[in-house]
Amino acid sequence: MSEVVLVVLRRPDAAAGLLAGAGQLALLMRHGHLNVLAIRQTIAPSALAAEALMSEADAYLVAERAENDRIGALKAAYDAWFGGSDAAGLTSRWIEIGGSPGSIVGEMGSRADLVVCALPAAVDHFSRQEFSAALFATDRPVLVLPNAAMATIGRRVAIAWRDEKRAMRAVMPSLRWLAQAQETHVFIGLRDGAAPPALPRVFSEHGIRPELHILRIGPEPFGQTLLDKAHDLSVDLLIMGAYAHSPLRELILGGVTRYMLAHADMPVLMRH
Amino acid sequence: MPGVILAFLAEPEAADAVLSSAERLAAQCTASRINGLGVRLPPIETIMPTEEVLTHEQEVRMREREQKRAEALRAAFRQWAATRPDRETIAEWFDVEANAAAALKEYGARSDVIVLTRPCDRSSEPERQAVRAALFDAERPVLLVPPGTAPAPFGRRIAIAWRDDPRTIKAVLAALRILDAAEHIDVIGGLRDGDPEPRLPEIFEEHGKPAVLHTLPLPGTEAFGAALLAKARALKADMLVMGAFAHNRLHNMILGGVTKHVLAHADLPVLMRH
Repeated sequence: MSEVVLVVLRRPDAAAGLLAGAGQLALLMRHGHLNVLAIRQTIAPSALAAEALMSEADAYLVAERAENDRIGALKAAYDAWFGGSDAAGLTSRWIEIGGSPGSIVGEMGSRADLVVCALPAAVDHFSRQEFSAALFATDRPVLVLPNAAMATIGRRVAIAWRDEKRAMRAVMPSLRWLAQAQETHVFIGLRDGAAPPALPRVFSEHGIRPELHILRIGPEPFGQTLLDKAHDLSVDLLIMGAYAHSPLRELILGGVTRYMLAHADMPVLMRH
Repeated sequence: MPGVILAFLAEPEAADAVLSSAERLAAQCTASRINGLGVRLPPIETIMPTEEVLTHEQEVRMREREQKRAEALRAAFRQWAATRPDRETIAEWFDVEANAAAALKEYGARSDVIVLTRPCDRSSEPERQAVRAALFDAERPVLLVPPGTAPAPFGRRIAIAWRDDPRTIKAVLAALRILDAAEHIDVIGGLRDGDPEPRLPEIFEEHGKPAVLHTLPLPGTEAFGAALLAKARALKADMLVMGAFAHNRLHNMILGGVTKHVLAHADLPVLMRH
């Protein structure tokens, strides 16, 4: 079988980085196949009626042209990537559809093996919808890439471990390709006075021998402690569980998860 | 993939069927390790809350009984490990005194597949709890083997009970990965009067797996679970793959109808995923 990677493109300036990162991880999996998705926004004429100097029809045309340009730029980035050497050894398909970003990503993501998307931008409503769906509606691991390009992904991997099911859910699918990393590290946070933990058995049983690092949980954000340690070790991929609780159905991200989404400057593989 | 298979043994007589199935699966997905698990019940778990306090004698007697069962399981595992042809795979035995459901959740969650006997009339309550924990708490695919003799070789012709929902999709993703060597895949879906003509779900083509779609009328003359098993037999499937469904009515878990039927009646190995 092929491992299917769904790459969700939104911003044209981030597309090349996303495709390169997704391709690198797909090469670690056997027979990686990339489904590259661009979701076309349906422009509702009435929503734009407030534009001051334009008639409703003009505003509609302008918005539609902007959307065509965006999709065109994404397709150009895809064609450039697919024609380049980075895509060697991979198969891929360009998918362009219109509709609700959340439901499309939820549906296509759930039948993929991995979803790749950009760090959601605070100002971009649609990118946040896509990201939320990828993380919470697909039940799949999600590779979140920062805007900065990375030379490598998945060669030096760190796992932020907690004795909890989300961390296990993030780790289990990664074990299929983790043996190919040059280095693996496991980070475990420890409060003052707590007994030092041992390396979880799941790694040795799967033939992985990571190095264990105990990180002190102090007053500073633990997310920053994880990022600092990862940088010290030149890590190029951080794997972690994504935590959220839902008081009255609105999902509130856990502290470390939220910190990572705001500050991560490296690829993070998350799973809820 | 350096996969890990957890073989949960409950009754010594059924140990061989579970272990040979685990071995078959290991060969199929090139797993590198088979963990055998036997769970001894703590005496306190075996009494009803309404019963009188556990006396010391009762406790000693129950511990001895569980100890004896655990030793028989260990002996069965050792014997299988010593005689199996494939020595590449690591085989390790774990024997714990614990609540059966908690043990399955813990050991199961870090395994790639769990293999166990499907429950039958003579299954004990803890064994049933273990099966439910494996299916619904461990979040892993579970291979349920019919009780009794070891099943014939399986994994060559697989039948998939299709429903367009997340559980089925997870079961299919697990099956495509574990059973990559399968020669033939049949997909069986229910079809109501007036439904549009069904197409093969996209997941198969996306993963590069050809499959053949079959439909069963809904509602049929018999329960869908029974029709499904009959269809799988008619297609000469050696294995069935399906989502495991349950509703949680205030923690009192109610199994879905088809899940329940297949759990009680399947005469072929079934791979389920919740």
